[in-house]
Amino acid sequence: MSNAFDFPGGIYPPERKQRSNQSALIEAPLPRWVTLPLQQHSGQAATPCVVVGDAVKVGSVIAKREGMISSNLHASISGTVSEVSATQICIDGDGQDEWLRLPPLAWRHVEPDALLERLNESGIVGLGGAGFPTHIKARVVERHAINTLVINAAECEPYITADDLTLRHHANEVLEGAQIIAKLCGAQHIVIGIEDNKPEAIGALKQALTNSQPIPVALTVIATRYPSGGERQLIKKLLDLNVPSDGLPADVGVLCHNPGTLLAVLHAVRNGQPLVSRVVTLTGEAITQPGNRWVRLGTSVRELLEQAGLNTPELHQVIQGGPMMGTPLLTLDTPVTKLTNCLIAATLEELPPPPAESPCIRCGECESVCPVALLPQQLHWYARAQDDTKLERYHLFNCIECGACSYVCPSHISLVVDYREAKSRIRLQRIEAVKAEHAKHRFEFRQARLAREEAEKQARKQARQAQQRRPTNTAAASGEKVDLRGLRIAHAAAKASVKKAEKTLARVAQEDPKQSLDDLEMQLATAQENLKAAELQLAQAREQQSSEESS
Amino acid sequence: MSMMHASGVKDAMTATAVPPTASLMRWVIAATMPGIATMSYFFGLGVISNVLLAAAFGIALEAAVLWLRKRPIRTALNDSSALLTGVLLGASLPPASPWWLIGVGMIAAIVVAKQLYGGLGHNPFNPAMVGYALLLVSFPTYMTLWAPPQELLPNGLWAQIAGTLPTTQLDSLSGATPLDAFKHKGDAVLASEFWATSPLPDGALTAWRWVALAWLAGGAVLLAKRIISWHIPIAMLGSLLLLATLFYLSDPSHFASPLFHLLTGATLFGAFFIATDPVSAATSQRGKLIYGAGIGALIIIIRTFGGYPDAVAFAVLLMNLCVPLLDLYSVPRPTGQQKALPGKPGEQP
Repeated sequence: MSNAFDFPGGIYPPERKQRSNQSALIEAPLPRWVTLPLQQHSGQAATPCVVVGDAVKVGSVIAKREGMISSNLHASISGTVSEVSATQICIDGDGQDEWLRLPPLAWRHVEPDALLERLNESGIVGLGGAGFPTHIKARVVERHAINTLVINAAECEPYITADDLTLRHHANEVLEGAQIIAKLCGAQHIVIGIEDNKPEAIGALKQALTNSQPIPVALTVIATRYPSGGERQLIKKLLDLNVPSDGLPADVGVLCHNPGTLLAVLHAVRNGQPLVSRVVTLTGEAITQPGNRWVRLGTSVRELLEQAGLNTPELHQVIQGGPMMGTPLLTLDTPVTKLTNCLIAATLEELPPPPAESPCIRCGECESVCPVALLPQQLHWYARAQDDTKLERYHLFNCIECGACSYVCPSHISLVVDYREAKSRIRLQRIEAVKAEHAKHRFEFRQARLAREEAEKQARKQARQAQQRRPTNTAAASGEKVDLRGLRIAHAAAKASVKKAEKTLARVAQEDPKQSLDDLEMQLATAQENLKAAELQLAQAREQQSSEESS
Repeated sequence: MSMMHASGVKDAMTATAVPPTASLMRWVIAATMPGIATMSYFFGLGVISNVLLAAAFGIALEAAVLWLRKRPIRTALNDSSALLTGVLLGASLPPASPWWLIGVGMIAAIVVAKQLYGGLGHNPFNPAMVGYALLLVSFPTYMTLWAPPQELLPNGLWAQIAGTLPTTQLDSLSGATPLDAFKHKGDAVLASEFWATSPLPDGALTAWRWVALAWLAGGAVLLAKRIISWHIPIAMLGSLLLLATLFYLSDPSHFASPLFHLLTGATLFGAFFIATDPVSAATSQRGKLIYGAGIGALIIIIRTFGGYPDAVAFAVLLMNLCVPLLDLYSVPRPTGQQKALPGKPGEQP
């Protein structure tokens, strides 16, 4: 079963998970102070709703979501707000750890709207690393029918064991959280995808599955191979479904959630506990007590690592996330956020910097490991040449930046870095192009407005003349033949373009509510101005014709 | 941003990664050893002196051009690619070839075919084969005369240094390769009659077969170590055997047998050491299959209908010409993508 379906490519890096999966999941000591960035999720940053000096409890809302894709932020310790800036809020703890919880919800009986509102209030985002707000993800059912909820417990990156330990300790609760989300989205199946290198977690899940599950749950153990935990790769592997490259899993009726997120969902619904802490893997050769901890958001990375026995002279770099897709931290004085699933305090021998780059010899090894079946070496040439047309034709934007190509490259070329640079360059150009397009539309609107005003002026003038009844003047005007037919055609065309603009606007607003509609509104206004001008001109011409006939 | 690299980890569960570029080149050089050793066993020390001389030319020329181009010499020489080109060209020349012949070949290979195009990774044509083809076209006499097996040539080595042909070789056509002999048997002579006349010196056919098998052994090592992928050799040998079999079955009295095509000439050497040069080969897996199949087919066509007895160099160079086209039209379909061909301006991603 497990090998029935497959994605292309993939690599087998050393797992190095034993270092952090030997000890139990424990609570990290309560921090004395926390720093909470306002942007801990994808989308817009939250807006602070506290001021310096406010007393807060654990779970007090300190920043509210802003705009469509955003998420609330809560105090993770009780104490006093000591700093509110444009990017972060700091809280000094009082050591009391007093909680402010929302009322518990009986999820089997409440309305979906109440559940959605609870997820929204609780500031829950995807804890696998992307940080997409969970309540927005749940609302996908408004546009797509969801058939299957996938629990992504593959955790394919080396070092990370946060999901592994979460499942060992909380398998029942994760499954209950999955039931909540599945009910909310109308999914009829739940599938757990887990790599076979986590036997204890698999055992815990099997044990938990003996309890009754209202929506049937299937446990699928897959072979360990990086990057099987990529959303698209896992869906391919579990369900043999191809997520369209310009679409989302929802397009094939699938929703993917990380076990940690599902646990947070349950805590928010059943216990009324907002997202104030998460499981973080602390690992690497430069700490003496590796393992997984429940960490309050905003805890300093330095403090956390020092509590785990950081050996500073040995430390080469700290990586946030996994060694394949994570980022090296520039400073340890940075807080744990909703996105921090793993901190690797690595020694130099453990993760040495790659040797100097040598020329690409087109060996094609990168192609054979690419899980998306791209041609990384072709992308490399085009990225270095900044040939953006070719890059897009070779599907640069399908790249999931898993780093498998960089891992195997015999010439040590930093392929993923090149791709990221190229992607951001092309994105910037697209934004510029859109801006230019908008400017063009604004100009067209102005022209249309001026034309309409001119037409109005003419109409007024004609009306005045008609009132004064000076037929001598019409003689001059009637010298030029009135092109009534042409004006009628122009009027019909203007009417049609207004209809078209209205239709486009309605369709886009329905399909993609998060897109800004200013530009389309502008185009509609332009078409309306044109229609008005055409109407006036037509009316004017008719008037003129009738007056000619009467005279 | 991947902080982990295959060459930086020693605890990988499964060794799947290829070694770094420099050791990749050295592995290929090491894998030529059985072939070179077998050749020199049958054809004399002239084979080894060829290889050494060509390798020395390769390094010297690469260093000289890098110096002219103001590029770091040491790092480029460290990748051993010039050395490899020298070894490959040296191994394809008749034993104890004159020094200037080797020099001219290496200039064509390293200076013209490789460095003028931008150095390692940028050459559209296989450098060793450019050198070989140039020599074959310009100096056919020197290039088609092979010393009979088992003649270790002390005077041959002297001739190499002096830059002349060993006199023994000029005596007769006894030095022709089996492919050459078969090619020039004439249409009137049936294959069975040709073989009945024992047209080759004693042991020549056996010698060539042993050499071919030695190249096969080296190639097997490369495949096992994942230095080369199977696509090109298998596609090339497959199409070669298929086409040779078709010809042979249509008229066994005039066309050589598939086994003859496989085990004589540079077929196996070409399949594992020449066609697999990644720089000048197609890059996608589908492209590699087409590329390999094209080489195999061209070898049979040129050997059968063309003017040259062996055809690996020309077949490889002709397929090198097709690589940009193959690369354009053999792009795999990314998962989740409806259209694949970047050659056609399709939908925007």
